[in-house]
Amino acid sequence: MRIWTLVACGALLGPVGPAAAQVSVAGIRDLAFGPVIIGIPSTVAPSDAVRSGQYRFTAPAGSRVRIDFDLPSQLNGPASAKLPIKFGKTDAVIVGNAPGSVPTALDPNPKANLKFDMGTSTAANIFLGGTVTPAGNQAPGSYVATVVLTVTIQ
Amino acid sequence: MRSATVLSAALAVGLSLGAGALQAQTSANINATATVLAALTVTGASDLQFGNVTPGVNKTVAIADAGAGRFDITKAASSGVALSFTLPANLSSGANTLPIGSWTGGWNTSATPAGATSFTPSASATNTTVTAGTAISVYVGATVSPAAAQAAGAYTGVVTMSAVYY
Repeated sequence: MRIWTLVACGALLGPVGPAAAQVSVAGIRDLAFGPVIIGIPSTVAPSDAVRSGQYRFTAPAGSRVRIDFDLPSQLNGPASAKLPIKFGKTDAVIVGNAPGSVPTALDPNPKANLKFDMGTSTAANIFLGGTVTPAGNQAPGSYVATVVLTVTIQ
Repeated sequence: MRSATVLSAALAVGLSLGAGALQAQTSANINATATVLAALTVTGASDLQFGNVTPGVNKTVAIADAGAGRFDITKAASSGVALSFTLPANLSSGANTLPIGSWTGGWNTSATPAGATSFTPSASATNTTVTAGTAISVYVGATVSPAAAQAAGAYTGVVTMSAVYY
């Protein structure tokens, strides 16, 4: 009788592996401001086909996903120099891969409680823009920071 | 009875794990990047000087001549700069004017007109793509056309060059 009990446990735990693979996320393209001039803010729109950041995620059709960004408030530069970066309420755009999917603006900032219904889409792209504001005495050089996107199936 | 209890517990655990898997979560990173350019400066280094001119005789100063005008630019390395000019149509001496035109230009990463890249100065931007160096010298020449009855005197005009990153 004890043997049969163990077999039953194994069968119930089996589905956990496939279900965990239902969502995947990949970073496709960096949010690249390129050259910016001291004292002059520079904005990249999410619609910018070259400079906007891009992620792609997959999730089952019909599911609802939660989208969370971990956004930097500054980019890190030479000799610990910092370059402020901000994200506006429409600086993210999401569009599913189903025919006729309409791009939708999102607020990438924390606590925006972003949800997206996959509908008939099985994947979606998220495009990210932002604004950097170099100070009048900003140190020249290359600046970088990481932007994290987390997708959770609800 | 004991077996039934264990099986129930196993079922509960299985359902609980299954519900957790439905909230599968995953993350990915991209970078946000920017390159802050060094400040762009422009300095008028040398006037465009025609010296003495003779009424009725055109006089040209080429960019390689000693009288050529020169602007110096400092900029970020590996960056392009767009040049544009505001050019006078005449030099002035009081109410008298001396026509000036046929502008010529050249830019170089060394402080010499030899080997400069030629261009025609105008209000339209001229892009200079310089992948090395942080300094550019820009040379300007032109031609003045004094009339046969040109009034004697010292004539001057202002040549303005603007530079922006592109």
